[in-house]
Amino acid sequence: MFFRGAGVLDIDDCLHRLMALQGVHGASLIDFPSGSVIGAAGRGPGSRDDTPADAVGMIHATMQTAAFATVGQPAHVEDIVITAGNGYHVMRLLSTEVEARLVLYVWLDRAVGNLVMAQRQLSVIAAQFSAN
Amino acid sequence: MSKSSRLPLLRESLEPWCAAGVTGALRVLDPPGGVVYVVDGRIAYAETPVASGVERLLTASGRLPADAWRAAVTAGRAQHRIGPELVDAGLVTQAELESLGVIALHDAAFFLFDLVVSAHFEHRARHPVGHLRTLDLRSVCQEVDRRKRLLADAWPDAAIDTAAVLPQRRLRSQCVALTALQWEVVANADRRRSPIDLARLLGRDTFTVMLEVRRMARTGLVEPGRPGGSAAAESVATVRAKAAADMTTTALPIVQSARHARPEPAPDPPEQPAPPAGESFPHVPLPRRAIRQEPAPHPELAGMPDFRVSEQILTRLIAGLGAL
Repeated sequence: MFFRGAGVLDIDDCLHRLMALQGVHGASLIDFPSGSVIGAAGRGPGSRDDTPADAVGMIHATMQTAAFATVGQPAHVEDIVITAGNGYHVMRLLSTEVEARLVLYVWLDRAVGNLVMAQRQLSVIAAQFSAN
Repeated sequence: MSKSSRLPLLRESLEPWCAAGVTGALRVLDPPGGVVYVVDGRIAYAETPVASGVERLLTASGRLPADAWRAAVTAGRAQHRIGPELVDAGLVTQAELESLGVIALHDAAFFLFDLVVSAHFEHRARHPVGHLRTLDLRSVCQEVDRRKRLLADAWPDAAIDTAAVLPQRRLRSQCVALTALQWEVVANADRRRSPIDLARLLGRDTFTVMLEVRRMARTGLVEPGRPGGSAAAESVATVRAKAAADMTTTALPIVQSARHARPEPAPDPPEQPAPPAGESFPHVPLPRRAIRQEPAPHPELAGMPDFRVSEQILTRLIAGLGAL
């Protein structure tokens, strides 16, 4: 096994790293304007044992609202956390230069999952995703 | 409706190749043209001139200078490694390229998968961009269906996709909120460009632009104008009109009128006569009055006594011709 630099990080690598988080139910990469799932692992959008349309719809609705938030005039939205009965839903917006359209989504268990660790890992992956 | 006599849809033509796990390309020979690449029985890439491919997504959006793309094409085309050339040069990451590949694949599949077209399979043909993420045929089909539903929910008339986008000059409300993409569309709508043209111009995938335009039309921010004159928009309009006409001749109760193919402003489209005789009739230069009198046999076309209807049309036709 050879070393893989940031440049050759592919979608499956991203998803595997997220799936390695503690208490994670599922992770996916979503194209937010069209609502399509580009890659998925575990449970959640794009997998068989969940209705993908619902999860993508939730993300879409949240993103739509967050984009219009004007509290304290946020320059941009970095991530969105929804705390729900079935766990934490974390959405990390990937801001590649123009293609600010991809969202990394992680579904964490309420009891076992570590929200801060997940956010840190998402930031690391987001930085590598579009690293030039 | 007799399913057996119907030509297969492109997605159905793909099934045997995917099931066999082969590698190659299914080339669409009829308009709008396009190719679906299969690698080991999975969908690797699809392209058509009317959708945005990886090249447009990268260059027209401003993500990459066109020169950088051309350099990668020159270096990697022959070995099918344009993508790796870009990644090795540090211009894009592998994950980014894969994402764009999937976006482009879905966009082309949306236009291609439900066409009834002749297609030719080329064994071992590969896309010059190189290996990207492959998808299951079924999941691509599901995505295409989901997109059709989303579009229909946002705005039912498909003619808006090929019509010029006209932003309202004045709004009734005091303020509006737009997403970044909606802003791009409005800022670049010159009252001639259709959603399909705007997508090409902006380097966005066509489906998303069509969806946002339909959503804005629904909220009254833009309205459809005249049919866009560009080659891409016309190509889509023609293909859709043909598909609608094919549907009518195979007696599917489709509501979408083939309005682009028939310029006459018939409020009651005459293209729903008796199914079995239907193929021969629309090509005859009919005196329109004779047809108009015919009450369109809307309810349950398949259940109608078809013979009787076609005889009625025949007699009316003869009467109409006699009157001339």
